[in-house]
Amino acid sequence: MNARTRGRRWPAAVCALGMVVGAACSGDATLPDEVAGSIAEATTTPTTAAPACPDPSAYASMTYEPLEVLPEPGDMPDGTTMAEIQDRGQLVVGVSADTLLFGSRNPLNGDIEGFDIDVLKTVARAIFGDGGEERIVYKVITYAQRLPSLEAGDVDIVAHTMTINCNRWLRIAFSSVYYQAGQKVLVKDKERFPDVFALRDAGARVCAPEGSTNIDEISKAEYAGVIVVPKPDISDCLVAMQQGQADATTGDDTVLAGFAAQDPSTELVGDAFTQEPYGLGMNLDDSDLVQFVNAVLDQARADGTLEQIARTWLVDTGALDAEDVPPVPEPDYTRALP
Amino acid sequence: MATLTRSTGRFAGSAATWIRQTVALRSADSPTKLRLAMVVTVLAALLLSIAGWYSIDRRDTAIGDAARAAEQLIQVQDVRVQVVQADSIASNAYLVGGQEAADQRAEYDSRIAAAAAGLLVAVQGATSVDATELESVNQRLAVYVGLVEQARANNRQGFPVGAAYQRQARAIASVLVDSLRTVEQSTRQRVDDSMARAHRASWTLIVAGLLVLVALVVGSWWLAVRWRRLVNVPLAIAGVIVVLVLTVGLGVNGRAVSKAGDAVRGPLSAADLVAQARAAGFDARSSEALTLINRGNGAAYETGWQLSSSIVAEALLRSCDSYGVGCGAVLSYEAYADSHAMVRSLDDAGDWDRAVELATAGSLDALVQQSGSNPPADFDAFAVASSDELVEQSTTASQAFDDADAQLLVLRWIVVAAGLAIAALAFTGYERRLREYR
Repeated sequence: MNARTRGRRWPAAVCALGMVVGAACSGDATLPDEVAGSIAEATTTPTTAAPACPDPSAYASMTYEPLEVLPEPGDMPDGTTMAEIQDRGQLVVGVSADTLLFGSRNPLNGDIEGFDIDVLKTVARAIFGDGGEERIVYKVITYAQRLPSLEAGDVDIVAHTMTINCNRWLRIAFSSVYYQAGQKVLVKDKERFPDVFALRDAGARVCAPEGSTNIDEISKAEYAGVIVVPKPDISDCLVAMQQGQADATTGDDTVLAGFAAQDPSTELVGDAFTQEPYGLGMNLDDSDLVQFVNAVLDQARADGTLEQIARTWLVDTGALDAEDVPPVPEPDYTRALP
Repeated sequence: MATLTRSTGRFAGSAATWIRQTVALRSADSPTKLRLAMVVTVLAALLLSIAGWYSIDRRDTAIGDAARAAEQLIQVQDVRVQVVQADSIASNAYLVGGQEAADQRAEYDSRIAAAAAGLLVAVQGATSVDATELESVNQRLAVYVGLVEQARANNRQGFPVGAAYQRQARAIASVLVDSLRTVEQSTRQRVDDSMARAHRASWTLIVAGLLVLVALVVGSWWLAVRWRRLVNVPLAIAGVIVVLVLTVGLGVNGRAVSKAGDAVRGPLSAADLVAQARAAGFDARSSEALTLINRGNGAAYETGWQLSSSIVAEALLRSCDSYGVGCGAVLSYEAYADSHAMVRSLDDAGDWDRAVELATAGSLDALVQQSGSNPPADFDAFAVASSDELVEQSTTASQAFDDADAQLLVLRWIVVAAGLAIAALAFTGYERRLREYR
């Protein structure tokens, strides 16, 4: 209790005397302290330091063999992670809500839609049968939350334009590659910055999302000179460009194509300077789910579903010309089961 | 050394002169002594007029300062409430999606306009430090409005970057609100300091009054003993007036400051707490929308909701317990908190669509309806109840300050008149004795 509250509690009798003497209640007419509020239970998410990849050159896209026989929808084998999901009646997924074309919230109806979402719907239908997409529970996560949310078991699958790489394989498991993207730059001034090297030479400000492979790449010695502007999410990078805080944004060509669609004054320039194979992320312990998902993706490759999804979101929306859409990547099942 | 000797010599000379004069006074004749007593008493009475005026004026000024600071506090808090209310409307409109309802848009615009107008008034009544802070609030408000407009423009075109603008707007609003809270805190201190000055302001009146009283009592006693008169009527009346000035004057003076103090301790404190509850309540409602915008991952915003709600609960409970104000709003906020729990449980269970429906429009679902949950209706009940309380308490506080001020306006003239009357009576009283020597 401080002087302000103590003063307030002086007995009324003393103040009555003050009416005559006029000075006895000195300092007693004080306002209450500002209400600070409190939270009963502070919940903090422990952060895990990323372990170092022992062999970064190892081919990251290697994944587990798919299940030989895909179980019938709604009839997942007992004791598997899929059966657990089926019994729960929900497939909990971590997605982006602001990556136009891949995973974004449609502001007009609130639905989350895009390439990644359609891939997840394919998996959900394989678990639950027709109407399985209705059983998906979306959790909107940031780039930086992708690995921690899987490690904490908050979600079953993450579909969030996530690049498969060696370091991430130490913490989570990936499906086979379902889309082959590449890192590019989006600029406002194409004449001045025709590619990433022009940005480097000019010491330009380049925005990238925290916790992404994009920021790791642009921070390499090869691009020393670039001023990296980190933001919590990649959509904040488009805002940063529009507000003049950044000259360019670096990210996957898929995501940047979505930005260019939202802001015609920006343009994708130069060739892709990395390979970004996208995979669905799962918990490292759920190798059975990884095998199941790989089998589902195999089927989607075979029956043209993956190609159709790419056409719907990348060509039909006008983001890419049909010939610029990369072919559906071939899987590599040479990773040994744990 | 020579200088010191000279100074010591001068001091010794002055002391000797004073002693000679005192001895001379003691040996002076009665008319001279009477004239001297008359002059001393008249001067003391005139001093009472001046000191009384000064004392009451200081108290009046201090109470006026407290009243202005109180008005400023209410003004700044109103700006804060308008801003968080506008932000709450913007967040909920974004959550609903699609074309924003015209009435919601109009409500948002009117809140922003009220905040901007309120800021202009607040700057005028602020200290220079607070005025600088309020200028920065004004600039940030313009940035906030720009970001919300960008979010809207993008949303209308179906561009998800609108969400990033919405997040930025929210971050700016948060900084802006913190600045307003800083100004509120310094304004609270201004109220407290002004009231402390008002309490201290009576001492000059008391000292001057007692001085005159002593002069009159000693004078009357001297006249009674020296001239064998039981009572010198004019001096006795003057003494009664001094006693009246000290008791009635200080009483009125004390009542004025006590009235202002009551305004601070009562309605102003209650208004302060209710305004804090309102600002925190609208902030909680914004956080609720943000937990849903971040579909299934609103933990950070839920923490914000809990913090804001704890402020609402504590502020209203303190207001209800101490002043009997805001008790109805406590109940309506509790009802809203229960409804919010239902929203969270639906969202946490993966039923996002029903959670959004419940949060924004109340639910059409029979089961949910049975639970009695209706966040928009419950929150509106809280908003209306707290608004009514706030207006009533602010008005009462303002009226109490005005009353205190009016009392002192009359009192200062009464004390001046009393001082002059005492001077005249003292003159008359001694003049009567002097006449006997002519």
